[in-house]
Amino acid sequence: MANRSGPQRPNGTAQAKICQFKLVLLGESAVGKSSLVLRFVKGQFHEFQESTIGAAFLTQTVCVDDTTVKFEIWDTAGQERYHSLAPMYYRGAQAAIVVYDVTNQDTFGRAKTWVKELQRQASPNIVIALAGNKADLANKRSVELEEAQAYAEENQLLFMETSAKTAKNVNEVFLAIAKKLPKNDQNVNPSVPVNITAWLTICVLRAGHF
Amino acid sequence: MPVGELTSTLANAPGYEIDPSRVPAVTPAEISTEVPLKSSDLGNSAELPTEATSLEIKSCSSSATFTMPAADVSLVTSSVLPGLGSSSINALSANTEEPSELSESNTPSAVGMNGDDESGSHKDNFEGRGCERAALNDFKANVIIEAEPKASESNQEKDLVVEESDLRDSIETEAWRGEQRHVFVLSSSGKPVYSRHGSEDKLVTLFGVMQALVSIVEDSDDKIESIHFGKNVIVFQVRGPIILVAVSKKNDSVLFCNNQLTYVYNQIVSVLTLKTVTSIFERRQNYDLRRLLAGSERLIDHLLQFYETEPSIFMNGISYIPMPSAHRESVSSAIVSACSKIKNLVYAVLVANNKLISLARKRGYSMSPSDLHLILNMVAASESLKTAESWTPICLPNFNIDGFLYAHVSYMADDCPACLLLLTVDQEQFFQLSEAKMKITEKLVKNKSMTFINEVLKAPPSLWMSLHALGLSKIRHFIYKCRKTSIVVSSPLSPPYSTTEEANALFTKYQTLYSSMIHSNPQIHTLFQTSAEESVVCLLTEKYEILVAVEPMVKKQLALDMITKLCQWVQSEEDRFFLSSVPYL
Repeated sequence: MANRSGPQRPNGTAQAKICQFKLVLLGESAVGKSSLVLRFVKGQFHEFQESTIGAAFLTQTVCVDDTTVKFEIWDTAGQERYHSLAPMYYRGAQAAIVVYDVTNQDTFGRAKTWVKELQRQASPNIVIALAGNKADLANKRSVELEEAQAYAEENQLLFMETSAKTAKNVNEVFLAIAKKLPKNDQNVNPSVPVNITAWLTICVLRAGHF
Repeated sequence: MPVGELTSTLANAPGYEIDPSRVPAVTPAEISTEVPLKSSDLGNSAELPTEATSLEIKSCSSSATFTMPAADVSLVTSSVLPGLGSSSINALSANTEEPSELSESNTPSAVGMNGDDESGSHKDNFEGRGCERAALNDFKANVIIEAEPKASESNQEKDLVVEESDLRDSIETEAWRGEQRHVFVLSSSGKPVYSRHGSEDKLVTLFGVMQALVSIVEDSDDKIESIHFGKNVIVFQVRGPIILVAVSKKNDSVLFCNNQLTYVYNQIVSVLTLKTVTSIFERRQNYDLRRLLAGSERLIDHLLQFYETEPSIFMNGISYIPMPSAHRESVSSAIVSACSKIKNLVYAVLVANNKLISLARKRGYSMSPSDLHLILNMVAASESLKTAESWTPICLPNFNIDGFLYAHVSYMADDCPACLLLLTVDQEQFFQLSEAKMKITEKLVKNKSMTFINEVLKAPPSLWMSLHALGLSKIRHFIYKCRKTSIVVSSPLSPPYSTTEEANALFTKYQTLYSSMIHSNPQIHTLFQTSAEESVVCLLTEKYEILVAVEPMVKKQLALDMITKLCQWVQSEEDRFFLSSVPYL
């Protein structure tokens, strides 16, 4: 029953299966990690987003087919002084978004370094997405789409150019990750109770039988 | 009148009013070696003052003035000279954060380098009109003047003259020059780290001059402390590989500038730890520290402003949001009961509007006011903390200067301006603390504390502290500090001090008066300063310190009577302003 009604309910109230994933955002400072998260979680954008202190923790839920995917997001600060803390955040993470700024070649270089570090030190099954942010500033572009695409393919990364400002591809990149993540029982979080609506639906259905 | 006599007069007069015109001019014999800078040396400056100006020598208890030729700059260093009393350094350390740091500076005394051009170039950059020398402490013991420029200095002189034209281009903008207070941070190799105004890159030559000044004085086994020119003062602090410089055109005291620089230094350490700073510069002396500090400039910017206008920081104390003690206790107990089982949690701090609501700590660990100010500053300077739970390393220099604490930072609710910080030594504890925070929120909602906190924070401050109600309407503003607990109570800034400029002007008066008193030896207990705008009274007793601004025509005795009444009221209301018992985690 729940399976059938799932896709018709975009807010996912009727799904019984809930998966929880840890996702980390990495990348040079000022590429727009916090802006991406803020757009994804709160639908907001601040032109003058101040630099993140340490790391920020947020959660957001998305719906993929019959599964509710709850992201526990670690938005890390990009400054050099915080690099040594990064393993604390990507350790045990099932997904990572490595962000660069399409107008700044250096940040792309830095993104590659992060990808390498994740491949070497994060869990082997980690789903990595590469996001070329600030796509709205394409006229100031210094990282070509093809270049990044080729790199992503070579390293088997999900890839999208995003814009936290216009919201382009922001939800899409999180959804793409959610789709790619394995939704086996291991990730079903036992501590999260089955969502109330689903439970009620089941109760009502059962009651109907009597 | 010999200075010694003047000092003893002051000691016997607790309510002594300082009127500079009544202090007789003193020409101490030591100063005769002073070599005035020749006017021709500075003839190329358009801003050169033409009138004859005076050199002032200030110590805590006396002020001496005599006329000098127009162009002069004086420089104060702490020279290592045998035979000088060390009493002065004690007075200095008592008012700074880390006595151990300062004790390196040996005995403060004054060294004039009036013949050198470096000082001259500073002078035209900072539009000096007079010349002034301030000995950092007791004038009798410490004013020693050396005048002959050394050979190395004259070589340096030529290099600096070449640089001067570049330097002028970059700092010639009106906006930059118009700033009243500057703060610069650089590495000992002269690399810019921070400038309060303007971009460090454009000011790079100016940083070079500052570094040169420091190293010139170091060459003669001495330590530069300050340069004085008219109302301008340039204060130097050398902290290992970091040089901090404050420039003020507002007649600020050296003590005030030094404390401000200490805060800046502590902020840098708070972001990086001292261990990191030291080891980085040990490895690479010309490291660009901006790489590691990136993003924390705004914390320093905010801290400087905070220091100048936030009463509790200004008085190096702690302010609580006034509320009935029963309410505060129920907030504290909610926090303690949710956190008491958490190992490694050191502090739980609830703050709002730059004041404390509650502070719980592990037994055996107290929180120093200056550490708390760094926390308050971080919260006030970071809007982004409102959007998510944050987890950040923070070094509290008085807790552990070489290591980080980890702070779980979150606002109590979207519509509540109270911010909770849980500080632990365990960097893996985020989720445990996150859970504790949820429990605290639940408890506060349940026992109605949340509603109460919101009400208290929303209420206009005039409601909770009306001086009119006490019949003290002639008191315009006050800051009270209890000496035993370091707790600071202040009235809200209302007209005529509601704009930033007005508030700044008042605080500048406060600090000039306060610094001169706190530094006086023997101690002056009461100072009453009258001007057209207001009269400012500073009172130091064994129990409390109080700064008060009253209406300009109020007589001294009336003002003192009002202050007595005010203090009695503050003391009677103590439980609303103070934390009656410190909760332990």
